[in-house]
Amino acid sequence: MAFTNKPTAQLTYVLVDNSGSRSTVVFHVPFATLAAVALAAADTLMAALGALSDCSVVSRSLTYTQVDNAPVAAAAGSRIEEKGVFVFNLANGLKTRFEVPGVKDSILLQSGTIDRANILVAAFVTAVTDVGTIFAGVDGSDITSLDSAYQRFRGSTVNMLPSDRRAI
Amino acid sequence: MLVTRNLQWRLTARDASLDSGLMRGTFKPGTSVEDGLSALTDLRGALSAISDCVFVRQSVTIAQSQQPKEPPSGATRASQVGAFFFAGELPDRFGLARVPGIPATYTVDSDCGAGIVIEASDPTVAALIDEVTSGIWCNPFGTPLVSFVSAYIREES
Repeated sequence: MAFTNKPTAQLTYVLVDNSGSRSTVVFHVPFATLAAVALAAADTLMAALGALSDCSVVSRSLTYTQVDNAPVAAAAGSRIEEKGVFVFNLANGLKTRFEVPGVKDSILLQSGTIDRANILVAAFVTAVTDVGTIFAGVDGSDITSLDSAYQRFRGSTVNMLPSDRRAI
Repeated sequence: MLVTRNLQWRLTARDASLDSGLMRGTFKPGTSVEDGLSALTDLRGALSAISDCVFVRQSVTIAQSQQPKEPPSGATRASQVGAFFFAGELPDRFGLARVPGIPATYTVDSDCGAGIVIEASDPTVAALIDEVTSGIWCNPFGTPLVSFVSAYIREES
């Protein structure tokens, strides 16, 4: 139930060679390392990498991850493919959307629309749109209101199909 | 020049058959890692009420890209990888850094490791080794990397 920090934050460089092939270089810093400190060290490391490798660095990322090492079981019958799609309006006139996996049937209307009057749905919408929230569109624009919400199914991958599905 | 994008977030959910799915998004400009992780914890509370899946992982990422992109400095393929092994400060703890596009000119040219073993005394190689063992970098389990062990070139597909 409790989320814990991974031991380290992960720094990943993406490099490209002159054929366009990409590869990555991964380093780790202790999780408690401030991002500014890690990125300053990453600058020095990038210079050393650039001098040594014939590839060029095109991007880098620093990721801090928390995990639940003893999660409770998901509800019986829940499926990742069953999405609750929430489309939000942004302050700049564009839209952004979140796809909630395994959306509960109890918040759906018969048409497949998500019941916007449902108190649990309203709480989620408020968590995303309320004044002071820090969630945003990809360009950083404020999320202002809910545009639409509906159920949608994504195709299962082969690995998601039941392992006992075959007749023989 | 590295251009920093807005802080990105990811939540990983798992269903009853243990398949995983992702939610992802972006925070407002200037959001710190700490504030981002805290906001995700709150968001999970709201999400758990409307999802039958269980959320098992959350992360925030500072992404930066090189603008304009610089061309590769040589012809060595990315699949020619330098594998650098480092020892941790704890006994029997190690770390591996794999660096693509290492030219063969950095390998020793005599003995049985010729063309394969990377010459650690080369100034350019030594600069990387010094940085990795500077004290801030560690292996994935959090053990600081304190000394260089060995390095060689290998081909990866």
